[in-house]
Amino acid sequence: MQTTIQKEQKDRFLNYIENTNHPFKNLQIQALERFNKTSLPPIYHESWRKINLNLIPFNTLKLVDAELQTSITSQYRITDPSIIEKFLMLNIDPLKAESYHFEVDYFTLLNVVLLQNIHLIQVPSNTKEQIRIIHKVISGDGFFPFVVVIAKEGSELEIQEQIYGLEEQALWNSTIYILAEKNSRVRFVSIRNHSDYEFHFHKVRIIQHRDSYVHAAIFHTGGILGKGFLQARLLEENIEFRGIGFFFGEKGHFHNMEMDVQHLSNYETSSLLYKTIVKDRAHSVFIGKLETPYKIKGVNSHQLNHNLILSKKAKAESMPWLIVRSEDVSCEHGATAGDLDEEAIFYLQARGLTEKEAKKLLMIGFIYDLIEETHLSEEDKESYLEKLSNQL
Amino acid sequence: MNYILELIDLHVEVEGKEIIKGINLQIPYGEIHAIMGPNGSGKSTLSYTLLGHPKYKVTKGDIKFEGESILNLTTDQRARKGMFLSLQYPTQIPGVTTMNFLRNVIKSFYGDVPIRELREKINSAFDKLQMKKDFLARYVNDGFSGGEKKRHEIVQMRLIQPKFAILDEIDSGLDIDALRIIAENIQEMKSSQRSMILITHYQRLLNYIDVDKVHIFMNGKIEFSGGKELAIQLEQKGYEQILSTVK
Repeated sequence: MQTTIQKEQKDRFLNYIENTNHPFKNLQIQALERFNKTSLPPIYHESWRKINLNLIPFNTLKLVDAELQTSITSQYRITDPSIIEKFLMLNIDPLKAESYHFEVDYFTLLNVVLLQNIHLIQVPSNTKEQIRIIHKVISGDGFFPFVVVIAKEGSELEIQEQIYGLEEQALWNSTIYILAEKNSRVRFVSIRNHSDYEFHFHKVRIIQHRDSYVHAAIFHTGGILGKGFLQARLLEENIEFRGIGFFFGEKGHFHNMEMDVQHLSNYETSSLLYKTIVKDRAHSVFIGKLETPYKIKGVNSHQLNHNLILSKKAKAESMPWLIVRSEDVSCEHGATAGDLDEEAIFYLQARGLTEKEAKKLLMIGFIYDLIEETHLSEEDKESYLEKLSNQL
Repeated sequence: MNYILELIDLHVEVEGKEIIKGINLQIPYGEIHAIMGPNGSGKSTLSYTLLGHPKYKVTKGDIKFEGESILNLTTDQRARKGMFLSLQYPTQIPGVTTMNFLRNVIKSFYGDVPIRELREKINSAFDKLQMKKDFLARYVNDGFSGGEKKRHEIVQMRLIQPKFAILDEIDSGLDIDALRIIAENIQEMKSSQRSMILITHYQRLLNYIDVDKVHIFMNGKIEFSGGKELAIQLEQKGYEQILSTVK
C-alpha cells in the first residue's frame, strides 16, 4: 500500500521545484517539507473514506514534461506576489495566512509543491467583469493549476472555467480561490470533462464577506477516480451562497463530490443542490457538509441530492453531514435515488421518440434546471447539453 | 371493407389479471367510434394496449393496423405508423420544456424542420386550441390544469396529424368553453383518411362530434354497439337499464 511518498519521489519533487521559474520557490519548499511529513488521507477520515487513493500512480507522473496551458480572459490580471503568497499559504498553513477554516491536506500541499500555472485576477470595486478560464493539456500527465479571483467591494463577476481532459492516464489537482468582498456578486461555473483514464482532485474555495452573493456550479463528467470540493466560508452577516453540481458517470468512473458550507456569522443563507446520473459500474458519492458554530443566529441552510441510477451495478451514495452547534438555525436535507419514470418513457414513445431518444430527453430534463440556473450563454447551454446528450 | 383498425378476439392481462376478455372490433377509415362504459370496465386498458404499453400483455388474439398485425411493434413504431394516444392523465415531464418536447415530437415524424417553419406550425396549433404561447417555456404538463393538459394533447394531435387517434376521456376536467374548443378541433380533424376512438363517460362531447358508432364496454367486453342515439339513451337511463332492455 502506498500511503506515504517514497524517498525517490521526494527527490523528484525537489528537483522539479529547483527547475521551475516561479517566484514562490520558498513557499514550494515549505509546502514540500510539510508534504513529506503528510500521508495520503486515511481511510478513517470521513471525507476520504470512500476513495481508494492507492490506485493513483504518483510515482510515475511525468512532471518535467507536463504542460498545461491556461488561458484567461480578463483585463484585471495582476501579479502581486504578496496576494498570491497569501492564498498559496492557505494551501500550506492557514494559521500563518489568515484562518479561513480550510483544511490542509495531501492534495492542497501537492498543488503548491508541483505548481504549474498561477493566475490572479482582481476585479476593482463597482466593476462588472466576465472571465473565462480554460485549462488545456498540452503534454504530460500531471496538472496543477492554481487560480485566485478576487471580486472587490461592490463588483459583479461572472466566471466560467473549463477543463479539457486528456485521453491518457493523468492526474489533475487544481485549486481556485474566489474571494467575494463586501456587497459583491459572483457567479461561477466550472465544466470539467475528464477521460476514462484521468484522476482528478479539484478544489473550489470560496470566501465571502458581508452582503455578498455567490452562485457556484460544477458540472463534471468522467474520470476514473477523483474527488471535488466546493467549500464556502461565509464570514460575515447577510451572506447568501448557492452551490449546485452535476456528475455523469459511466463505465467504471468514480466521483466523490463534497460540498461544504461553514456559516460563521448571523443571518446567512445557503442552499446546495447536487444531481448525478450513473450507469454501467459508475459510482457517485455526495457529501453535503454544513457547519455552524456556537452563538450564530438566523441561519437558513438546506441541501438536496437527486440521483438517477440507470443500471444494477451503478451506485450513488448520499451523505449529509450536519454539524450544528447553535439553536437559531434552520437546516434541511433530502436525497432521492431512482430510475427514469417508465410512464414518461411510454408517453414520449407514444409521440414517436425511440426508447433511447426518450431516455436521453428525460436525462437532459433531469439536469435542465441546473443548467438554466447558471449564467452560461444560451449558446453554451445548448452546446453543453448537446455534448452531454451524445454521452448519455 | 378496408379497416384501419381490427381487433380480433383480443385478450389482455395486466400484472397477471385478465382485464380485456375477448374484443372484436372493426373501425373503417374515416369513422369515429365512441366507447362508453362504467369505471373499471377496461376502456383505458384498451387504449394502453393499442399503443403497446409494456405493462399490458396481449395473451390472445390480434391487433391489426392497416391490415397488419402490430403486436410485435414497439410503442414508438406504432406511433410512427400513425397511431396516436391521448392519455386520460397526460404525464408530466419536469425539466423538458414544452417547446423542446414538441420539437422532438415533430422531428420524430417529419425529421429536421427549419426553426421558422417549426415555430409557425406550433403557433398555429396553439392558436387553434386557444392556448397561450407561455406554455412553450414551461415543462411538459407540469403545473398545467386539467383543461390545459387536454388542450396540449390536441395540440400534439394537430402537429402529428395521425391516421388513427385514441382519445381517452379527452372531455374530463374541462369547462364548457374548453370542451367546445377541444371538440371543435377533433371534429375539424375528422377526414376520410383518419379514424378515431373517443373514450368518454358523457354524451355532451358527442354533441359537437359526428360519431359513427357507440360501443358499450363492460367487464372487458363490448356488450352492445349502436348509433349516436345510444349515448343519449345511456345518459338518460344508465348502463344497467339499457343493457337489460337490450338483453
